[in-house]
Order: sequence, then C-alpha cells, then structure tokens
Amino acid sequence: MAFWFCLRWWYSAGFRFAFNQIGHELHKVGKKIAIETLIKTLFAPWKQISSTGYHQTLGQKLADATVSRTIGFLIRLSVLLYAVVWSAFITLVGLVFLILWPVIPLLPLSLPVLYFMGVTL
Amino acid sequence: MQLIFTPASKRARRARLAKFYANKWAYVGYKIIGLSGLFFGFYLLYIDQPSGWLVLIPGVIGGILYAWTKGDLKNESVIPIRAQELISTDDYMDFATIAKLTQNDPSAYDIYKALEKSEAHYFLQNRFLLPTEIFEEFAPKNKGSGQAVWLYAEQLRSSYELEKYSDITLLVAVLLSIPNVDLMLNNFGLDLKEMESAVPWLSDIHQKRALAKEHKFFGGIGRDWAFGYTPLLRAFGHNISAEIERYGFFSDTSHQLPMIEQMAKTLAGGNGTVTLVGESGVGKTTCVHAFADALLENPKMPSEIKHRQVVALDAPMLIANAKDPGQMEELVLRILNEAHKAKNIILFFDDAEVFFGIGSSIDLSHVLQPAIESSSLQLILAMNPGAWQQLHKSSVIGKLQPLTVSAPDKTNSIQVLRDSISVAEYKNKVLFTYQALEEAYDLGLRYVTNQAMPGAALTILEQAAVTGKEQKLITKEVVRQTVEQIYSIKLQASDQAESTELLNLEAELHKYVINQDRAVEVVSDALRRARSGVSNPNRPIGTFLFLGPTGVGKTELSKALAKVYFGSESSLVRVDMNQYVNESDLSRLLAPMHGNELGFLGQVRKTPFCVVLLDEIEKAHQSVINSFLQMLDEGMMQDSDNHNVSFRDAIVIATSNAGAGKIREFISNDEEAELTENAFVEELISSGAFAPEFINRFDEVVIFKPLDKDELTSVIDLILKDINKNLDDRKIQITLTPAAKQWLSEKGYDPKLGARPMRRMVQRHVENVVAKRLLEQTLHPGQAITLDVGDIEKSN
Repeated sequence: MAFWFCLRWWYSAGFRFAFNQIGHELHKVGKKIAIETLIKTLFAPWKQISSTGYHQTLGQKLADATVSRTIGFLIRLSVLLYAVVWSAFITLVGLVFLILWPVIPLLPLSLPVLYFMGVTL
Repeated sequence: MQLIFTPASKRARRARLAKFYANKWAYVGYKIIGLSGLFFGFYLLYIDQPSGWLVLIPGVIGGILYAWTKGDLKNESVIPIRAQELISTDDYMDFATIAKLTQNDPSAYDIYKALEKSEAHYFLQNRFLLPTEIFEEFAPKNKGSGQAVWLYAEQLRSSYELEKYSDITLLVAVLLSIPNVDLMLNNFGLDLKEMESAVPWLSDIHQKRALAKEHKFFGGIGRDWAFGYTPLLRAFGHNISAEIERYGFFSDTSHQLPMIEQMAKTLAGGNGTVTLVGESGVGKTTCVHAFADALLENPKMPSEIKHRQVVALDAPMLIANAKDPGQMEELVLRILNEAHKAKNIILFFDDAEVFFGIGSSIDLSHVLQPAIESSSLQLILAMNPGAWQQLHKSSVIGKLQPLTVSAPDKTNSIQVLRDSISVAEYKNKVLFTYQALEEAYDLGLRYVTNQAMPGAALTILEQAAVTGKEQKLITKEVVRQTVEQIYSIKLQASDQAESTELLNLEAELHKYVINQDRAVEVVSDALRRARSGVSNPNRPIGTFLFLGPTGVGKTELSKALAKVYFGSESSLVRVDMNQYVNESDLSRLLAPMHGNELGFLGQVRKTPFCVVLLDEIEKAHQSVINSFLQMLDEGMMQDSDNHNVSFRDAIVIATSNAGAGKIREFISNDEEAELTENAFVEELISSGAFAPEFINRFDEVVIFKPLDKDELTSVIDLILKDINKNLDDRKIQITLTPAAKQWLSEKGYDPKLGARPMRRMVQRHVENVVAKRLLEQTLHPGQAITLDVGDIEKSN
C-alpha cells in the first residue's frame, strides 16, 4: 500500500511539493537576511558611529561620517551580494532537481543496470 | 446531521501510513541510510568501483521516503466539509488520533479504549483528577453509541474554534456522551464546563510545543546595522526583545490584543510616550512583553516601530550605581541620550512612579520631562492608578497618553494562569490541577487585596507549589492550606474536632462571660453558619451591635470570642472610637499605617480572620460611622491608598452604652429581651443616637443586661481564675469562702458600672493579701490557701 501511495503522490502532488520547496528555500533567504532594510539603509552610517564632539571641526566630522557610511555601504553590499548568489544557487539546483524529479523513482531500478555495465564516474 | 468515521478512507489510510513511516525514528533511519548511501555510493564510483551504483540505491530510497513523508504524510490538511448532512469525521481528525482508531462504527467505549494510553487521558487524570472508572464503567458500549461522541466532538471543535479533532476532543466527547455524567462529576467536585476546558488547554499546549520547535526569523542579518550601540543600556537595562528572540514568548495575551494594537498605534503615530495604568498584578509587564513580541513577529505592526528593541530600565541597578541624586540624574540623562542616538530603542519604565518621586526619594521628572514633551524618545511607563492620580499634580501629565490595563475576567485569568504555572511547575517539580487554578482565582480575589488578577492568583499558586512540593500534585486542598497559612484563616471544611467545638461554643464562651445568653448565642450561631458554608461569603461572618451599660461583658465577650475561636486575644482588632470624634479623624482611620505601626485597616489586612471591635461607636463622628456602611454590607473597606481591605472573615462587633439608663429601666420592668431590643432600637433611631441605615446594617442588635449581685459572684470566680493562672508557675492556689465572695460582691456592686469595679476590688483585697503573705514568707510555693472575710477585710 505504501509503495502505491508514494508513487501516486510522486507523480501528482509531489511535483508541486518540489516546486514549493524551491520557493520555500528562496523565501528563507529573504527571512535570514534583512534585504529590504539593507537596501534602504545602504549608505547609512555603520551603527550610527559618527563624530559628535564639540571640539571637532566640520572637516573632521565630515571625514568621520564618510568613513562610517563607506564601511556600512561595503558591509551591506557584500551581504546583499551573498543573498543574490545564494538565491541563484538555490534556483539552479532546484531547477535541476525539478527536471530530475520524474526519473528519481526509476533510479533504484536503473542503477543495477549501470553496475552490470561496469560504468564508473 | 450524521457523522461517520470511515477507517478505510484515503485520509485515514494516510494517517496510518504516517504513524509507521513518518515518525521520529523513521526520519533518523531515512537520514542515516540516505546520506550514507549517497556518500559511500559516490565515493565508490569515484574510486572506479561500479558497486557504487548499488550502494546508491538505499540512498535514493531513503531520499524518496523522506520527500514523500514530508510532502504527503506530514500534510494533515483537512478536507473541507462538502455536505452538512453527512460528515466524515476522519476528514478533519488529527493523524495521530485516526491512527489509533481502526474499527468501523466504534462505540463510545471503543473510542475510549483506543485513546486510553494517550497523553490526553493522562492529562484528564492528572490535571482534573478524573477517575478512569468513569470511562471504564460508564462509557456506552452499545453499537451506535459512537454517534453521540462524534456529535459532541463536533460541538467542541466548533465552540473552541479548533481545526481538527484530537485525542482530547474525543475523550471529552466520550465523557459527555455518558448518561448522567454531570451527577457523577459532581461527586468528584467537577463539572462538565470544567471538563470541556481541557480541550482548549491541551490544544494550546500542543500549539505552543509546535511553536517552540518552529524556526523563527526576527528580521534577518543586517536588521540593526543602521542603529547605534547601547553599552549603557546593556549595563542598566534588560532587553526584553533580545530575550524573546532567544527564548521565545509563550504567554497567552490574546485578551490584551486591543491594548497592544493601541500601544503600537500611539507610538507609531508620533506620540512618544505610552502610559500603562493598572493595578499591580494585572499584567502590565506581560503586556509590554507581548508588545515587544508583536514588534518582532507580527507583520501587521506599523513599519515605523517594527523590530524596535524594548529595553526595561533596571531601577535597582541604577540606584546601586549612583552615589547621590546628582549622579543618578546624570546617568539617566546619558541613558536617554544613548537610546535617542541608537534610534531603535523603546525604553520601558516599570513602576514608573519611582522615577517621578512618588513613593521614592528619586525624582527624575525634570530629566524625563524634556524627552516626554519633545517626543524625541519612545517610552513606555507602567504605574498603578494611585500613582497616576498623584502624577496629575506634575506638569508632564499632559503629554502622557494613559492606557488602562484592566484585570481579565475569570476565564481569561485561568487561561493566563495555565501559561504562567509552567515556571513554578518546573522549578518545584510539581503539577497543578485545574481545580487548584480555580481555587487560587477565587481565594486570590478574596484575600489578596494588594494585587489584581491574575497576579493575585499566581502569587498564591507560587506559594502553593512550595507548600505542596512533597506531594508533587498541587490540588485545591493544597491551595486552601496555603492560603490558610499565609492569612491565618480557616478555609478547610470543619473537621470532627472543630465541629464539636462549634457545637459547644456557647459553653466555652460562658467560661469567660457571665449571663448574656442571647449575645453568646447570636455570635455562636454566626460562626456556625460561616463554618458550615451557609452564610453569604461576601459579607463579614457576623455584624453585631452590643448595647448595654458599662461592665456588663460586651468587650469581654469579644475577647472571649477571639480567644476561643480565633486562636488568641491577639486576633481582636480593637478600635477605640473615642479617638475618632472629629471629621478630620477619618483620614487617620483609613490610613493603613500610623508611622511605623499598623493602622486599623493595616491590622485587619494582616489578620483578616479576627474579631473587629468598634468600642463605644456612638462617640465616633458621623463621617467615620458612614465609612463603615460598606464594610457592614459588603465586607470591604478601602484604605487611603485605594487598596481594598476584606472583612469577610471577621466578626464585626460595635459596642455602645448609649441609653444605658433606659436599658436598666426596660430590664427592671422585666420585659422580654427581644421585645425590649426592638423597642430600644426604635428609640435609639428616633432619638438620633444612630441613623437607621447604620443600625439596620447589623445582623443583630443585642442588649446586654446589667448584672445583679449573684452574677457578680460568678464574675469574682472568673477574676480569681485569672489570678490563679498567674500564680500557676509558683504552684499557689487561692480560693475564697462564700462569705468572702459575698462580702466582695456587696462592696463592689455598683449598678452603674456593672462588673468593672469588681476587678479593682479583687485586686485590692485578694491580690494584696497574697503579695504580702508571699513577702512575709507565710505563703510558700505549692501551697493552697482559702481566704475568708476576715483575711480580705484587713487588706485595705
């Protein structure tokens, strides 16, 4: 009974499940990284670090702010790039997986053939 | 509507497959076989071994099973009801429950047997003390009896808005299907409504377990990079949001949802400060935790405040680190600046009155005022209504938006208690029954007057967990025992010894009070009514007005009552009404403290199980008398701090010698006691001595008869008994001859002063003789002497 239940699901709702899993993984990237906040605050000072002392000149303050904002920009940009690369990887692997999905149940039957043929990597 | 259970349906078969293929151990197997198969298979292929293809097979099968069970067998989504006439119950039943039911058309008893070893059954046994025999012996066994179970289960599902039936729904439904089950439950001190509440309770526990396992996201990497560091706040504050991120927030605050939404609206709308006003224990702090949780998790929160960090200032830490008020101001100012610069901080001041100099020496209002007025910082203040009233004098009040946090009703309070007890249970390794929670609520409402619900009940439960640590199970009785210990009151049903004591109370009281049969009888009756549970629990045990001349035993009876029934004379709270003759004295009466000493209301709060004696009530000012009206009616008074003080476990006795002359006149005319009382009360009202609304609030007005000479002789016996008690440690016993007693009563008789001069007489004539003989060493320890008229006559 289990075998037929499994097989029927694999070639019906299973496709949708596999597709949803890719969406789920991509969604997780969005949850793990505050993409919207990072874009909105791309040029904001890093951790609000900037000069506020009265003894500092305007030039010093300006330089301080520029350094803080540049550090912030670089860190945020690298995290955003990481999110893009990771998402692209998930999409790619997911697509390959989706293409292979119909043949996966056939593998336990076809792999012994490869063994008898003596094929290796 | 017909409900059927089809064990052969596709969903039911999937549920049974899930039991076997989608359990915890199966997943461990899939992972081990799958991953090792893939790893070793590819490794063998890598080293040119074609056998690697064969090793890959279990890896692929493991992977397939994993995907199938996750995607199909773990998907318990219900099948929408297609036709109301015929509902297939397995379409919306938990997989775990379906898997236990294998019979076609099971009886109620079959359903019980299938669920006998479930967590739900143990839950009913332990949390509700429900005996298994009810199911075993009374669950219907006939074919078709299952139909009633499905119907009750459907009713429970819809009334508690549950998606599916679970073990607990079916077990409670089986219980409901037992004929006359309500009568059986009553025998065990349970009722049907209580049993039904097991359904949402256990469902809630399951939901929270699932929630705890769920991986949560609180904004993701980079959320706080645009906000500043807060080293000072780390040292002097407690980050509630960070705590929730780490440990989660599981309290049920659904009843506080409108409040949380209002807080969000106020803070996001530009008004920087929200003030939560509510009694202590009402859940203001929990409300702030729920708000912090909503900011982290609720997608509907306004973007202006989403993911803001709620940080509670640690007042004791601040006080400990600031040497003087100047340093404290500077420290708080620096903290406020830091929070302002960080841009993502909402500061929470719990017991905020402390920071405004109310009930403390720290007044930081001029430091906080600019921040409040400019709305430059987001602040949440929490304070009690009394402090909020006092803050009205301050100029900051205009900018503070008050939100009233009111005490939840009983259902919501019990719901909160269900969540909150887990800490006490874990700490003390105990288990609370449902009945214990209900009892804590009822007793908390009555006895914990300095806290509101649900805090009051929680305080009792936490104490009960410690009291009942040995027994492991905290029942209703343990809660009652705890309250008895804390408040020195009697709650448990009277045992045999106490019943005997109550039935013979008159005889006991007469050992201290001569004659006055009617007064002794009415107070004894009141106590018997209270202890047998017949009297109204929302009034004092008894309220009596004792009228009569001086020295007839009014105060003595009150003292005797305190001694005999309430444990000791210290259970007598005596108020000399002579001290409350002016209107201005009212504030003194209502003050819980007089300097360092407890005031009248403070004493009653400390010892609620007592005799309250309002001595010479006629002397008190009218406004003072009026302040007692609510107490006589509802057993409650409010002190000057707006805290309720309960008199519901007290006997209230007011004494008065108003119209003493008239009483003597009535008595000397030999009129019937009760007729005399009625006529006398009428006269007291018409003469304006007491207002009718005051006198009518007493349960009984009792007239104390003046004592005659014979009765005075009995008084001498009582006084002598006291003297002998004092001489007990020297083993000296004194007796008086009848002639000596006669002589004393003749000498000490004063119809106006009753027995009052008698103590003086005995002191002068008997105690003096004994003292002299002791000093002359003519009386030695261990001796018994009898004094005659000749002995005591000389002593003056």
